[in-house]
Parts: sequence; C-alpha cells; structure tokens
Amino acid sequence: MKYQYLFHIDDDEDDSEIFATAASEVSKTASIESFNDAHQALQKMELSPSSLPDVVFLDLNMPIMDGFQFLKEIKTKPHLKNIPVIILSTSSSRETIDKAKKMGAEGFITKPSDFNILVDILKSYLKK
Amino acid sequence: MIELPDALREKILREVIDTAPFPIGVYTGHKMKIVLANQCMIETYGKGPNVIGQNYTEILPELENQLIFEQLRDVLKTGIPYEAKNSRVDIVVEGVLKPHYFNYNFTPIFGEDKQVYGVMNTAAEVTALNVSRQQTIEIEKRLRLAVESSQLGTFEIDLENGIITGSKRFLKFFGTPIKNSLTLPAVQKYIHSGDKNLWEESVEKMYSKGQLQCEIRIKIENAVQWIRLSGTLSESDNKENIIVGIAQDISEERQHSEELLKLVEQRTAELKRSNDDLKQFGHVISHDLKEPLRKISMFSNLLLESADSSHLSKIMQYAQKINKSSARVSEMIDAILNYSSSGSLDLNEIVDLNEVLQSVNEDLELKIKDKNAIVEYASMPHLCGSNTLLYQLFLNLISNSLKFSRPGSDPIIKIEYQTTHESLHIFITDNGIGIAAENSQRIFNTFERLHSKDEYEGTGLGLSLCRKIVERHKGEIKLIPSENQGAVFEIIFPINIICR
Repeated sequence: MKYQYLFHIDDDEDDSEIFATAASEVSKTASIESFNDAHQALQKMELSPSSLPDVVFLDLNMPIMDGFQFLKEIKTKPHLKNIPVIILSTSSSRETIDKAKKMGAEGFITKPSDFNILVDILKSYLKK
Repeated sequence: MIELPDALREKILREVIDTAPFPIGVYTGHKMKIVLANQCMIETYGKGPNVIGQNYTEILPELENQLIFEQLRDVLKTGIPYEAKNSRVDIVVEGVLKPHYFNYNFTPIFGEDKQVYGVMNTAAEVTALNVSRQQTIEIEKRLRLAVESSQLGTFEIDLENGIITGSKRFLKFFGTPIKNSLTLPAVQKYIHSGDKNLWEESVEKMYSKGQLQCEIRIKIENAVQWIRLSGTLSESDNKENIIVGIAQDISEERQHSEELLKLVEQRTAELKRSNDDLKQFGHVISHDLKEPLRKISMFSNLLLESADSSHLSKIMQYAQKINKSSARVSEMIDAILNYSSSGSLDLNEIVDLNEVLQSVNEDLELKIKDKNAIVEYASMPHLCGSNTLLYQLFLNLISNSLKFSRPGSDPIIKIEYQTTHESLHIFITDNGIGIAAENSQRIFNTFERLHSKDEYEGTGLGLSLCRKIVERHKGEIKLIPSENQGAVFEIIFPINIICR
C-alpha cells in the first residue's frame, strides 16, 4: 500500500525536519503534515473529517499525549479507526512493539541512525 | 539377755560394744577419765589407740570453750541426760582441727547408791549430711543471686489446677493487682491480643510435652512488655506435674531487634532506590543518550548530501544541529557524573550559604543577564555539610527557575529561610511557569521530564540530584503549593545543620 497524504506526529522538531526531508526525497507528490503534539493531530482529524490522512507516522514518547494514548483514541473512533498508524520510535523493545501491535498499529519502525536507511524505509510507504 | 555365766556375758557385752558401728565411750569422775571407748569412739577422738585410762579433758583439749565439758559436768552433777542434735564439734583428727557434726548423747550411769558415777557418750556422725546441706544452701544462694542479677522472675505452674505461683518479680510482670498467685485463665487476660493464639498453643504444648517456651507480650493497662517464658516439668519427687521455669523481660531486646528491622527496611528502601536509579541510568544510556547521537549521525548524512549541492545555509544549519546534539551528549554525561559522584563527599565542611549563592550567581551570570533575571537573597546561615553538593543544589534550583521562566516577564528568584526549634526551612521562589500540583512528586524522579525535549532542554537529572543532595544532608525537598504563579521549593533540614 502506498500513501499520498501523511501525518507525522513527533514532539522532536529535529525529527520532524528529518522525516519531512526524507519523505520529500522519496516522493515529490506526497503531502506531509507535521505535528509536535499528538493532541493537536487528533483534534485536526476530528474537526476536518473530509481531509483525513492516508497514514499516520507516530512517535511514542511524547509529553501531554503520548503515542499509545493517541493510538487508543483513534482506534475507538469509527471514522478514524481504519487509518493505518505506523509507529516511528526510538524504542526497539519487544514489549513496546508487541504493545503497539496489539493496540492496532499497522507497522513499527525504530528510528534509524542513518538518513539513507530512513529514505529506503519510506520508499515502501510513499507513492513516487 | 538369758542367764549366762558372768564371764561369757561380759565377753559378749564387750564384743557388742567394741564392734558397734557408732562411737560409745564412758567417762567417770570429775576429771572425766575415759574408762571405756570402743574402736569407733577411739577413731572419732582421732588421738591414737592409747586413750583409755586418760582424762577426756586432756585427750580433747580442743573441746574447751565448745560447751562439751560443761554439758558432761552437768550430767555428772544432776543425773539428767543431755542430747544434742546436728551439733557442730571441732575436733583435731590426726593433727588437723576440723568441724564435725554429731547427734550425740550424754547418759548418766548410776551406781548402786543411786549416785551418778559416770557418763556414757554415744554419738552418730552426720558431717556428710551437713556438708551436703550447706552445699545446697550455697547453690541456692548463688542461683538466687544469678536470678536476681539477671532480673529473672521464677514461677511454678501446677498442671493439676492451673495455679501459678511465682517470685515477686514474676508477679510484677502481671501488674500490681495480683497478690501472690495467678491462674492460667487469669494470665490469659493479660496476654496482648496479637499473642493470644501463640499463648494458647504454648499452653497446649506445655500440657502435652511438659515444656513451656514462648515470647509473648503482656499488656497491663496501656503498657506492653515483652516476656520470655521458659519452663519444664519439675524432676523433684514431691513436685509431680509441676512446671518450673523462669520469666524474663525482653522488651529492650525486642525493641532493639525491631529498631534493627526498621533500619534494615530503611536501608533496603535506599538500596531499592539506588537500584531503580541504576535501572533508569541504563534506560538513559540506551535511550536518551542515543537520541542526540542518532541526530548527530542523521545530520552528518544530510550535511554530506548538502555539501554536494553547495547549499551553504543548509550546511550551516546541519552543522549547528550536530554541534547542539554533541553539546547535549556532553551535558548529559556531566549530569550523570555529578549524580553518581554525589554519594562520596565530605559532609562535615562549614559551608557559608552566602558564598555558595554568590558563586552560583557568578557561574550563571550569562544566563541571568540574558534573561534579565534578578536573584535575591538575604543574609544566609552557615551550614554543616558538603560545599560541592550544596553548591550543586542551589545551582540546579536557580538554573531550573531560570529555565522555566515565563515568556515575556523578567524572572525574579528569591531565596529566603526560616527556623523553628527542630528545623531550618529554605524557600526558593520564582515567578516562572510553575509546576502543576499533580506533578509535584514526579519532578524529583531520576530522568523525569515534564516538558518535551525541545521546549526546555534538560537532562531530567537536575531535581533528582537536588533531592539526593538534600537527603544526604538528612533533609527533604518538596514543591509547595503556591498561590501566585511560579514555583516554590521548600528545603527542610534538621536544625543542627546550622553551624553555631
């Protein structure tokens, strides 16, 4: 499945920048919306149901509302629960991965240390 | 005796007297001449075989002043027999003067004229009996001394009727209302409610096994005493079915071990916390420290890509990001080092808090100027503690206040103190963004961060280090609810931290 309209939720501005740079390198047509706060992303999804993202890339460790809370929220909402959520986190523990999958995450990516690896990973998700 | 020829009769009598297993002697006249003494009496005198025909007073001069001669003379004079029981007589036997104990008789012998002409002396030596009785008395005395000096109470329990008799000390364990005996059901009433089952089991065992062993609490009015009871079936023939035993007040011992237990619990809690710190330390190494390193790597990749295309502004931006992330790694390592070395410093230095605050101010000068901040403090006391740690404490607190200042208003940070009888209270007040009450505990946890990484950079170690430093000085630190905006930290030290 290749996606066109992406939400990226991460409180770390550096990571938002890195993600956007990598995504734009993979696809010239993809549209990326970055959120530093999961709560804001959720609000946006609820307020504008006509422009829902094709996919959400989600960090886990965040203040205010963490990734698990966000995941739980959207999986309980009928019009949002079918939007795939891919976790993009620094964590790589089996426990966290299992927990995220169990809560309905579509995929789990551990934030790589190499920019080119991130680009490669995104190639499998984004339309050219 | 049947009629016998005189000669035979005399021979028999002599034989009987000579071989009698107890001493027999006959003395006559004022000088008490020994006219007859059997072998046993000769041995009792202890003066050799040639005593017959000699005077009693001369053979046994050591009896002078022992009232024996007087008793003999009285019998001679009055004809009234004399009997002594268990009487001490000191006699020289084979040259050594020793006490002997006798039951002895002086019996008058009357002549045909009804006048007393002599005295028969018979005796039974009871020295061995006496020695063992004295030994018993001595042992009892020692035992009593031991019981007294170790503050033991003694008791006897009659298993037939459940009546308990005891020494004064034993009865005192059960309070004043008791006169001199108790019963098992009466004792039951004084047993602390937490020990009633144990007591019942012990009593059951006492009846089945003849042994009583227990440590129980006795509660009289509101005073609780720990008593150890140990008893066993008496082995005396005349005390069948009686448990004899001792009771000991072990309250101090118990208190001691309870204190020890508390200390162990406290140490365990400390250990657990330092263990938790270590776990979190592992977490920070694997996660938090990896983050900036990952970014350094990421931005280096991007820097390399941009170098090709000679985008100068991008290159500079990525280089700055790399710098920032490296600085962050270094800052975190410093914080970890500070945190882990705070455990091994001299806590007995005299620390002038004014000097400490002065140097904190100097070290934060740039940040203070940058934020247009004011740090105020009145004359502060001298404390007994670690200079390095107390410096670190105020450095962290003031940096914290500077970091979390309210955008658009100049930070004002005040350091004040109060004393009570028991404690010194130091307050650090700021007008910053404040901390929500529900987070007032979390902030002191190791590596805890309330704010996102970019909003306020931090290691998450600052306040937990503050807590550790304060606790090492036997104090506590807390965030106190403030009516105004901003945060108020209160540090409470025991009053003896102030140097006088």
